[in-house]
Amino acid sequence: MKCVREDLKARITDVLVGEAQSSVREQVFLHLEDCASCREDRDRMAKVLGLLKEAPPWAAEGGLGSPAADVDRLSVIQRQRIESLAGRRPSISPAGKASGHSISWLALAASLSAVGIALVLARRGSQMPLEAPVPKATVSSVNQLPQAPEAPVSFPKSPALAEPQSVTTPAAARSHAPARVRVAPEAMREFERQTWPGELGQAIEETKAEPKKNDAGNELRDEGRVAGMAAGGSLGAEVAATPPAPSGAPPSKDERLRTSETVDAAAESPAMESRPSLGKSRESYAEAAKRSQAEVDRVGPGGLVAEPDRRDQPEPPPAPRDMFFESKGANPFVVTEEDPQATFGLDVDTASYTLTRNYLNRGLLPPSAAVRVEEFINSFPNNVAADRGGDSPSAFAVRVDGAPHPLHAGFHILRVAMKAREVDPRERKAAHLTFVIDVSGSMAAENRLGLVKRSLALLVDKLDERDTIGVVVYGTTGRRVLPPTSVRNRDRIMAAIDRLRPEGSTNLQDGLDLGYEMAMESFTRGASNRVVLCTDGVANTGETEAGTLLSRIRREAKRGIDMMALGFGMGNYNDALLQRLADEGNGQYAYIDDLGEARAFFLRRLTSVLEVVARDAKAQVEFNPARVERYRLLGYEKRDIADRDFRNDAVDAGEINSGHSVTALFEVKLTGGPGSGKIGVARIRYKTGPRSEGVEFSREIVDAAVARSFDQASPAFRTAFVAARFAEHLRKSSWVNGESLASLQSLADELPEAPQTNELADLIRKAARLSRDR
Amino acid sequence: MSETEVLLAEFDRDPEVGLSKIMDRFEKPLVRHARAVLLDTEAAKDVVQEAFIRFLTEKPRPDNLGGWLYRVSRNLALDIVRKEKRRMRLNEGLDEKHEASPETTATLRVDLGRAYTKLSPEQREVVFLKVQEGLSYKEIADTIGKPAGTVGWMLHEALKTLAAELRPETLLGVRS
Repeated sequence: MKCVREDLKARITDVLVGEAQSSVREQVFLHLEDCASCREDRDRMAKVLGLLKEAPPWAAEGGLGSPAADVDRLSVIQRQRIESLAGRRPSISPAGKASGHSISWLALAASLSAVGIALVLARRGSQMPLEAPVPKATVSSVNQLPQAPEAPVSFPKSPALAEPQSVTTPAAARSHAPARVRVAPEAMREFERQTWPGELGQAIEETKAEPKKNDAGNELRDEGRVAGMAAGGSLGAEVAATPPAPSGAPPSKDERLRTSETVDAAAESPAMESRPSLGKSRESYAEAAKRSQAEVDRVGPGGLVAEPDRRDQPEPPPAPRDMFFESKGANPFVVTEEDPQATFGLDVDTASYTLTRNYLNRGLLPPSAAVRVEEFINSFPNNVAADRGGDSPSAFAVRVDGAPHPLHAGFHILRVAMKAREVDPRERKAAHLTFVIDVSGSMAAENRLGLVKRSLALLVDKLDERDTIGVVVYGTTGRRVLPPTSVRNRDRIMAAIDRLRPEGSTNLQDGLDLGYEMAMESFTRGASNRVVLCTDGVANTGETEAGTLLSRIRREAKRGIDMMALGFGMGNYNDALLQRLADEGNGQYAYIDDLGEARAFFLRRLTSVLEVVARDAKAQVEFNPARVERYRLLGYEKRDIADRDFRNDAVDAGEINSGHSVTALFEVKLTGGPGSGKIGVARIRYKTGPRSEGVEFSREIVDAAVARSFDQASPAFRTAFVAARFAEHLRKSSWVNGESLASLQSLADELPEAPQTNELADLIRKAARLSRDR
Repeated sequence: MSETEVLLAEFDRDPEVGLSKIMDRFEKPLVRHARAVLLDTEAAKDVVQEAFIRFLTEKPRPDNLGGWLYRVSRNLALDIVRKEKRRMRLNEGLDEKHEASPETTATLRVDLGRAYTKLSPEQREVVFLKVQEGLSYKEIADTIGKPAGTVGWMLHEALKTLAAELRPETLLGVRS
């Protein structure tokens, strides 16, 4: 029977939810007695209301009242991000759990009543406009974010946040920009702090907490610790401080002084007597870093890369949008008498250079924090002939040389260039690779997944029947796609890779868990067992706490499964995390921006991708204070190792693969003459296997190896310097403050013609133009 | 002193403790509300995170803080819906279980969840505010900025849609 009282239909709902006035209610009841169709409607509506209360679809899986109700809380990372804006120091326990939460985990019931209050309050406050509380900003204020990738490049996972609706000023826009905070810089910082030993760790932490402390320089000057820093970071600055007063304490005969004649010569110098303890030296180093950072902060608009002035913000946002980079500031000059040793882990990563190239080719200057000097240097081969001898005890061929500084009279460049032993492709170990591939929605952008597929195809093509490949993907959850399969079945592997499609969100944890599980299935002792992570970003679901991820990766690396991190895409790229993942996993980190780079990475150096010839490799360069007044290591800030840990084989350092070039450059102020002894000594220490004992060897730095002029230095030497200097410019190091790129440009143009050097010169030209345009 | 005054005073005294209290107080209800609109937990959390960030960067002195946070978060959420017509992900991957016996709560949840995605974001919000929060039409009207009569109509339409979308066995309550 058709109901004639259409007007009452909606009233039935009102009655059901207790919103009808008594007169209406009466009418409805009367009508229901007559109308079967409306009674049916009422029953269905009532049932729906009951079901909604029983299984509220707005509750997350697990439902209200179940333990899973905590899914309604923000993640630890998100909370930290917010708290950091309130000026809170990150307080994460080593386990990665947030202590910030502990204040009051409200019981579910309490929070349910809270929502009621919140909403009632909301209602009372309704005299305020209901739309956005502040005027809408134009979208362009966001698009003009300095150094943000071009809009189409990025794939915002959270569009509302990428284009904030209520933005008042560009400054506010910036503060909103890091919309989807996946890994708080604080969290990353915490892990760093854990890797810095004791006192120094604290000092570093303080450095970061108060990077803008401008009076640091006065203290430093007073104590005469880092004299060269005094004159606004100018290289040519005269020493403005007096050396520290002799302490009267007898010089401690450190065991680290025993080995070389360089040091013996130095020990005769009376100045050595006043050398402060090692701890003090390191402290001054950290303070100098603080000072250096203060300088960097003062560079301001005159600097090469005009970054937004963030000084008015309690905590600078990590980077525009979803790009996460992290800078440690540039190394300072160190007075040799204070601390004659520079100790650092060797590094073969090159991602920073590739990433920068990508930025520049898109007409953008890279964020300064994305620029790592050592990765620029190591993107270029050094001219050291690799040792091919199978019986050779050394994994490295080493060359130490120098030349006058081309841009600062009175200073020299010293180079320690190492080339890892080249393993014959026929002799390489079998490779058991597990690809862990990010197939989240953002991988659809710029056909990133397509690039991953083609890159992996290149790799698979170079492997042979000794090797196996397994594939795990992760979107919203992780999934096994291909169990470990011999490369004999190349077609099956390629078909599995080819079928991948972008899907869902980004559950990195899930993907890695499955990946490591699969890697165990094909694990073979003595082979190259690797998990190869291919991603454009970071976890946004699942366990997004970097701590848990990193400890898992560390554990697996100990068991013999290394990690290789390959970064693709730009929009929400987490440079800091990927670098960290590869580090902890004893692996390499490369950024692949196009097929050409993939080719360069996989084809030219397959053994270099697969064969580790040295583990936890570190270098210690010790200068003779009678010959070197002060020195500065270019780059390797993230690889700093305490001097006393050089012979501690448990300390994590760099993994060096077959044929890799590793180069370290120093700027030094020479003093005295050859009569005062050798310039210094470079020591290299590494392990051949995860558990084997460290092997060490050294090379003296002698005057004969120092060229008379920069032009006479080898092309590889000059290229390394140009690359390093370029990186210093791009990261706004105070050491190149005020220097024009033009002089570097002419040095680059004088390099011998080669595709790589031409490209470098081209990039410098682009950067010069971009910084002029600003 | 109102609750807002208490919380803001605490925040002024000690931003750390104050912020912690404010977040503990409002994050869950805000996330739940944003999810009711967005049907995506991660997106909801992003929205709520952003609301708190705006509280810190814009430093408002609202008469009521809950209301202010709620409005910011709501606008951000609706913005997402408007701009992207976002696909709903709440029940993604659960479709395989569609044929499972209707006796289980899980099945009910899946079925109801799917039906719920057929509603417009505004309808979902009204249903949420009515059923979950128990607000009156008037309160909902003030909240979403529409007349009370419209609220009643939206709710009615939403329930009708849900009833039509639910499978008969779910609706008839085969379950015990």
